[in-house]
Amino acid sequence: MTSKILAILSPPGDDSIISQARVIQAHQPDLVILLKTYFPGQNPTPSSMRLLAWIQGSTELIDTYPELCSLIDIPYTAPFGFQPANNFGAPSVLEVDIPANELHLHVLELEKRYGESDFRFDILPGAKKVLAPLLIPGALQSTKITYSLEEGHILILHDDGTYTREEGLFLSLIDRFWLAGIPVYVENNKESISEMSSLYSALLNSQSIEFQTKNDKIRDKSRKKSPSPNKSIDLPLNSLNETAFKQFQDSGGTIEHLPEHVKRLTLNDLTWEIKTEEDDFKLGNSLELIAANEIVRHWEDIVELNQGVSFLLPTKVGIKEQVRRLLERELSDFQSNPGKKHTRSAWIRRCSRLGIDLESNTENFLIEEITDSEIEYLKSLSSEELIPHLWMLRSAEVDIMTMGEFGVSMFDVKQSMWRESYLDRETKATQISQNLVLRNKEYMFIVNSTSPFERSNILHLTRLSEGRDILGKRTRSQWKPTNLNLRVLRRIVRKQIQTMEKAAGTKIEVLKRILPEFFQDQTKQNPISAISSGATIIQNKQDAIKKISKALLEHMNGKPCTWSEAATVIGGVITTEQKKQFFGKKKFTRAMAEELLRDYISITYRTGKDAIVEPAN
Amino acid sequence: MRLFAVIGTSSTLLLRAAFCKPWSTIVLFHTDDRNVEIFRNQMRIYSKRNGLALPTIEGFEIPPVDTLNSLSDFMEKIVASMPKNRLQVDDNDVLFYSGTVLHIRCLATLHNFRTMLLHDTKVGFHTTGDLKLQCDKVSLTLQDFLEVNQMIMTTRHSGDERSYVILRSKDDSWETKSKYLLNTEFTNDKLHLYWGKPPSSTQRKFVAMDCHELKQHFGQYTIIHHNLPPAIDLLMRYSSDFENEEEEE
Repeated sequence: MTSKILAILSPPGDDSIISQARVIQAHQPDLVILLKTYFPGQNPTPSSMRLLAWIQGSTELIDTYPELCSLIDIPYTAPFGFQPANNFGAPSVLEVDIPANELHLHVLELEKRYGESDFRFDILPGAKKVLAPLLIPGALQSTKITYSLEEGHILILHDDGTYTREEGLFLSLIDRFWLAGIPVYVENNKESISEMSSLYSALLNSQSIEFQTKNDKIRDKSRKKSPSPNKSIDLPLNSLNETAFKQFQDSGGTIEHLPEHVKRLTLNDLTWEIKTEEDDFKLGNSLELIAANEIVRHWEDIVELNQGVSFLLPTKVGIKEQVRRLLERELSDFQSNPGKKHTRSAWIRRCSRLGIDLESNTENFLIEEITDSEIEYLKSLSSEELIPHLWMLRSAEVDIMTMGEFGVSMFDVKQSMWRESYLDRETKATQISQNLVLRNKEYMFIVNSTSPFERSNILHLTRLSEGRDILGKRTRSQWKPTNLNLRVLRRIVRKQIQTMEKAAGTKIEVLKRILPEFFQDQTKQNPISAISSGATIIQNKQDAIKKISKALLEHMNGKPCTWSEAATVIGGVITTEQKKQFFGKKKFTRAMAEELLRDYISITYRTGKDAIVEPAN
Repeated sequence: MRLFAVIGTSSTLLLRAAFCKPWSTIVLFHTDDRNVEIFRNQMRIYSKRNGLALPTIEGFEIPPVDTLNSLSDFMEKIVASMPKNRLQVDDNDVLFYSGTVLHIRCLATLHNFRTMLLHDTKVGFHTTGDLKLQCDKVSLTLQDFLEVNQMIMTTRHSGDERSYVILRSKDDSWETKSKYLLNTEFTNDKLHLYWGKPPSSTQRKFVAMDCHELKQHFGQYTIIHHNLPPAIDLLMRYSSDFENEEEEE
């Protein structure tokens, strides 16, 4: 059998380490030639220690983190290390130092030397500038110039512009993080989720609207901030309410209500225990697995999925600082409002566990001492026992992370998002810390409520079944109700219609005829109501101006209106993203309207009062 | 003599390439003609500021690579569009090394480019391949850099009288949020940003967000960060692994 020789660039530093590992994993070579380029005047540098360790295997890569478990027996998900396709073992590695400007000559020499072998040069790792001479057609003769794709496949790029596709193995996301200097712990992967798939699907199919209970209203009152008005018209959808339980039981499932707000859900031989509340907070964690299952089942390009990915702190100092920071925050929550369950419980529980007398210490907690006690406590736990404490030992968490033909995508799963500001404000931006976003473009939110607002990066959980194509559809953020949901809604609406008929003393058919404005599709008829749709297709700036003007003129219907009204109409036609895209600003200001819409409207300013907008003469 | 280039997110180096020779035409491979328009405007601003002649600019559409179009799709579509879309490239035409390495290899082989234009901080613009060209040294001043990117740089004072730098777009649609951008320096056509240590996780998030936004506005290789908190530094470096669409030096 012809031996496979793979040559790749190995530039100084660790920046290309993931690409290098990706290529080696995909090609499965017998020999890897690392062409360590350096620029004139520089000295050759050693190859990445982590890359060489990864080629040797999982344990060797873990050993590059000597402090990871030296303080606490921190749980982690081990990297795979290089995975040989046919149990042939790890490839041999040959490291060659070459000046960057002599790369072409060296590859020509290698081509001669390995003429009898399957000699290939992969252009993924390394710098374009150094590679450039090799990219020109005819630069090499018998070498296969290749490019390794995210999902492990290899493109052989011929001199005439055509290409051949070759199967290959992909580099796991887990290994990518370990290679990049971030050890990880993963709660579930594609395989473990698939094993429970029928249970997760049954729960999604049985989900229903979670109407507000008396307890919820009391809970809302106990909070400092009043709930968003959207909370009452964008109710959560989940499998943990009475209607959903009944539907789940009808489909063959059983439910046990255990103490401490735990539900045990069983379908056939699959069982799942879900904690629904903690410290007076409702938990929505179960949605992560249901969403992950939908992606595994319906997104065809996905080759790897991980749910609950914790980025671990690999140094003693890092862990200590993190624990201290979190304790400070918990203490501050406690001290700011000791009377409220949701702000005090975590601290009280911790003090009780650490044997700290709350009564005598209320004002004078020594955070250093408590941090040391907490670390001592964590030290006493086994790796498995530490899993519930992982939130203290990580720098960030990603709910769902996938890899496939389109690269890496991240999803933050939320039951609902009642304030748009969640998306814009760094400090409010959900559980994933913004400083750990690897790829902004592929960072999406998954929500599961009745009427979420629509944004390009918000996906509705019930739409994930439409596959990756949903990203390009206008309906991506909209709830797709099941037949059960429709039955529930019909029952409610029917009752409300009867109430309405009684209140108006008029039959609904008559009301429809005489008051058509209340019964037509509001998003089509009333530009103000179209705000929630936020999905007008706009081609370009001119198109935007035309559509805004048309909506304003329709709204005014020949009469003047205030600028506030006009602004609302404009907000209904064009989304914030579109404003930024076409006008370079997130806000469509009065000054902009005056300049851009002058052919259609005129604006009159009034001191201390709202400006008046009129159709232009 | 024409210069061909993929238009990515980082336009500074491409802008300099466009003025390093008196090209008759600049042909921009693009996926959205708005980007051509933006670049045309940047060229206009630069040529006006420096009294240079503006070459003709043309666009040539290529398939996109985004959330709905993978690299495999890109290859499939671009190869399928041949020979109908094959350019008449002659020996005097030069391909600039912008875009991903896959874009470059693909465009070079499909249209048979024999010469490529590269840039090196020490050597300046130079070519590899059949044609050996002498190129002018093109350098931007800080003012050029800010003007072509439609940005303004100002200094503000925080509550504790510490001063910090703010970068904001001229139309006010964006500005850096962190109060820990302590200093800047523009050397070798790169904007060096010197960060202070953010005292809290919230402030660290502002720095991280600014880094992402700066990358979007100026491109990966035009901004050089100094003293970033290790976690952000690490992730800013590795984030380029997944989206490699900018020019590099």
